[in-house]
Parts: sequence; structure tokens; C-alpha cells
Amino acid sequence: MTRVEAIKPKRRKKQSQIALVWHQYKKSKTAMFGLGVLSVFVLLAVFAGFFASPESVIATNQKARFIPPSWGRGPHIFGTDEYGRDVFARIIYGSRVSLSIGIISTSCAAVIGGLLGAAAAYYGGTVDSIVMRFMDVISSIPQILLAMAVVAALGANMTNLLIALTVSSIATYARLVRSTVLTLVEQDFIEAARACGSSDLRIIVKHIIPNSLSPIICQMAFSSSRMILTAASMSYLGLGIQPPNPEWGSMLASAKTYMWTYPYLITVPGVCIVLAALSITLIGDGIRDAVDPRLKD
Amino acid sequence: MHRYILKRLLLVVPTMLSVIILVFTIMAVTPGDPGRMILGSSAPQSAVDALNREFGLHEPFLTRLGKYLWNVLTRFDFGESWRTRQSVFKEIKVRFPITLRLSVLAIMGQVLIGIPLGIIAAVKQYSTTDFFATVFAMMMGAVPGFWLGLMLMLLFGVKLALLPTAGLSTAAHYVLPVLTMALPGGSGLLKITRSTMLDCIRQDYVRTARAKGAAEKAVILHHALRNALLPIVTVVGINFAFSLGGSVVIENVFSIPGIGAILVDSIKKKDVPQVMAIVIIFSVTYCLVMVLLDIVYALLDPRVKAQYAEAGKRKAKVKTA
Repeated sequence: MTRVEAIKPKRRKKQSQIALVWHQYKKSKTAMFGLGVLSVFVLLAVFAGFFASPESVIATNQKARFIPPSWGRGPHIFGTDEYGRDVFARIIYGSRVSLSIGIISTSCAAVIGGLLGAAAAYYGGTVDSIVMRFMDVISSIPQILLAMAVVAALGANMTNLLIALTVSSIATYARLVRSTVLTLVEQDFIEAARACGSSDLRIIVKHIIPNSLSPIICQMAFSSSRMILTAASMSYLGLGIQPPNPEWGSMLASAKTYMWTYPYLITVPGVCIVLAALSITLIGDGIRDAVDPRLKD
Repeated sequence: MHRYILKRLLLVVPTMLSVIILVFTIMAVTPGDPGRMILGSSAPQSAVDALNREFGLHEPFLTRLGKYLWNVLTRFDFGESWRTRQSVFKEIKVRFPITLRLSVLAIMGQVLIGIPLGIIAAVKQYSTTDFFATVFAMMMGAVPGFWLGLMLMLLFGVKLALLPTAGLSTAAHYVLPVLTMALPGGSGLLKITRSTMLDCIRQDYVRTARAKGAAEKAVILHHALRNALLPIVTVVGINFAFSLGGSVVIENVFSIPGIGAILVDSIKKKDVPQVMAIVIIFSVTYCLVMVLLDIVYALLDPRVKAQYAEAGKRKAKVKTA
């Protein structure tokens, strides 16, 4: 009986990759700070309806113009703007817009660019050169200019802003995925898997995708914070979300006129943009360090 | 080497052609009625149609694209603006130098802020200076340029009343816009300088240099920095392209008569020739900077230079054989 037990291989608890990464991620205080701040924004965005109704962030109230911020000891925590709208309510509705722009445009760019890059790497030859030359062309136009040209052509609204941001960052992902896949395919463990008789599908699902995911996820974290900044800049110029819809960039644009007398109107939305972008960058840094095998203990 | 530079310059031409075709297509295939945009919503439909006809919009897309390319390639004629009815270059000639000057100054500011701070942060890793430099870089990376501009205006223009906040008439007017453009880019440069320097400082050749008794300053500047320069130069080049695009927003903040204002205006009015000309001029500048970057690589890194020299020799051999 004891012998049988001895022969039996010791069952090692198989930890999933995500659990391992999380274990590593938890150790970084800045990364956890980023996660905390982002969670607050996400919760506020999801439950925005509990704080204010969607109509109240657009409706004007001439009697309540420019009430200074109460910082928690009154009804208007961040004060009211030039139309008497509550800045806090507009901020949380604005976070819906900014966060969804960041998430949607990044995911679209990652999926489209990723597929293009993977196709380029997989087929090689003519397909590879056509796709990559096209990406070279796209990336030889400065990102914000390309986004502006797209908005110019389509008109300024949220959908077109999303399209513009997506188009202008596809090239990054195509390049990244192409180079990752090309290096992976050459690796010995892929060769080994093939030698073991794994099918192409199994190799792609079990080996290539898990191994190429981490650089892409890191890049997605960084570019979604960039997207939030670019979207705010575009809205600030009047080429993105149009007033009176709440968006942090367009709130800043309309507050610019009153900034000398009511500086809180530009500090509050700005700080929100910085916190959102910063928290996502910190999360990206945290994931990058967590998946880096050199830093594993 | 000269052959290589020439080849790189020639490669800009097909890229530019593709950029022209791409942007022209984006502008053409999408809905929008330029005639209506210019004349306003109260103008009669017949006038709008006549104006659109004058712009050549009744012709099929390929004909228009062909005509545009033909004019650009043979006569270097980019057409005239639909809003002002003057050559698109009339305004660009006056405004582009301002934007360019601002971007160049911003890049100089970035280099002055980013590289020294990055080196210090790397040399004194985990020190207080390093901590503050890293936090500064992290914060600045997340700050939108236009908001930083507004805050600097509020602080230096109003609270301290030290610097002017609008226009570009004197040298003092340049301080705030350049600072606004230099701080976020400089933070990126700081990050990359710090991380590449940290890599280089741990290399064997740096230990060898120290063992030979070279002065610490020489070790850092000649042995470590020289090897860390390539990624740093890359980021400087990319940042330059970014600051050209970003200047569009900053010019709006500081009411600077650069190219940004007419770009935003032309975009809103769907003034296709003007938008095309501006995007093309930005892309040409960007491509030329990239060529310059490649040349700088070769100058900085003997390995890269040797590669080109060898490729040239090999070709020469094939020819003579």
C-alpha cells in the first residue's frame, strides 16, 4: 500500500496562468493603486444613474450658475458650471464616455490590427508585404492628424471618434502581433508540439495565443490610456463628443472661457482625465512586470 | 553611405503617394456636402449644386483622384482652398514655420529635461532623485497636453502673473507653449533614458571601463550613454512627430497663429484641398525625420554603418563580376 502511494506521482496543484500573474501583480503597490482608482471610476460610471438622471446632466438651470464646489459639505461637491449643471454628475456621466472610448477603440484596434498582423505573419510573402506596407503608410501620418482626417470625413460624433481612434492605432497592433507570432513560430516548444503530433488548431489555441497575449495586453493598457487622452484632445477641439453631452475634454473646452474666474471648472475634469489615464498606465506597468519571467521568484 | 541616404529619400516618394491616395479616399468616400457647408443651410439648392460642380465633385472618384495626383506630380499644384479660394500654400507658408519652430523648441526642451534627468535617475537608482524623477515621468505621461497648458496658464499667467498667455509676439510668449509641449514628451524620454541606461550600466564593458580606472563621468557618458543612445534617439524622433500633431491642440490653447487653427477650421468646413495639403506637409516632415533618424543611427552605431558599407560592397562585387 505504501509502495503504491510512493509510485503515484505527486499531484502538483496546477495554477492557471491568470492566478500566477495575479499573485505577482498583487505585490506592486502602484499597480494596486491603479486598479483601485480605475475600479472607482468604473463603479461610478456603471452606477451613474444612482447619482443623477441622464436628463439632469444636460438640462440647464439659470438660477444655479457657478455655485462653487462644496467639497462634500453641500449638494454640489464639485460646484456647478456656466449652465447651472452639477459638475460631479457631468463628471461621472463623462467617465462613461471616456472609459468606453478607451475600452472599445482599444479592443477594436487590437482585434483588427491583431488579425492583420497574424495573417501577415502566417501567410508571409505577398500578403505580408501588402499588409505591412499599408501599415507603414498609415503610421506615416501622425496619429492625431489621421484621427482628425477621419473625423473630418465622417463628421464629429462619438461613433466616428471611435472609428477614427481605432483606425489610427491599428498599425501598432499589426506590427506587434506580427513580430510576436514570427518569433513564437520559430521557438523550439512549437516544434516540439508539432513533433508530438499536435494539430495546427491545438498549437494556435494552446501555445501561440497564450504566449502572445501578454505583450498585447500590456500594449492595450498603454494605448487605452493614450486613447482617453486623444479623445479628450479631440473633444476639446470640437472634433469629438459634441456639447452639451458630458465628456471631460469638451467640458474643459467650454470651461476655458470662465477659467480665470472659476478655475475649479478646469481643474476638476482635468484631474479626472489624469487619474483615469494614470491608473490605466499603472495597471499596464503592473501587468508587464507580473508577466515578465525574469522578475518571477 | 551616400547611396543609402539617397535610397531612403527615394523611398519617401511611394509612401507619400500612398498617403495622398489614402487621405483623398477617406475624404472622398464619406458623406458630406462641401457646397452646403460653405454656403450655409439657407442657401438655395441650385447654388449649392453649382458650387459643388465648380469643385469638380460631379465627376467620378477615380477621375478626381487622377486629376489631383496629376496636378500634384506634374505642376506641384495642390489646388486652392474651397473656403478662401486662394492657393492652399498661401496660409501654410505663413503658418507652418510657426508650428515647426514650436515643435523644434519643444523637442530641444524635451531633450534638455528628459535625458539628463534620466541619466541621473539611472546612475542613482532607488535614490530620492530617482523616486521623484520616476513619479514626475509617470504623472506627466498621463497629463493631456492641452490641460497642462491651461493649468500652466492659470499658475504663471494669473496667479503669479509672470508670463504672457496668448500669442507669440515676444520670447517670453514662447515659454509656456514650449514648456507645455516639452514636459509630457520629456517624461517619455526620461523613462526610456532611465531604463536603457540601467541596462547599459550593468554591462561587462562598463565594469571593464571602471576596472581600467576611467573616471566615473567618462564611464557614464562615454561608455554607458553612447551605447544607450539608439533607443533614446528613436524616442526623440517619434516624439518630434507627436509634437507636430500635438502642436495643433496646444496652438488652440495659447491662441497661436500656427497651422492648427486652419486645420481644425478646414476639417469642420470639409475644405478637402486644404486638409489634404496640411496632412501631406505633416507626413512629409514626419518621413524626412524618420530618414534623418536612420542616418543618425548609422552615425552613432558603427555596427549599423558597417552593415550598410558591407551591403554596398557586396552589390559592387556582384556588378563587377
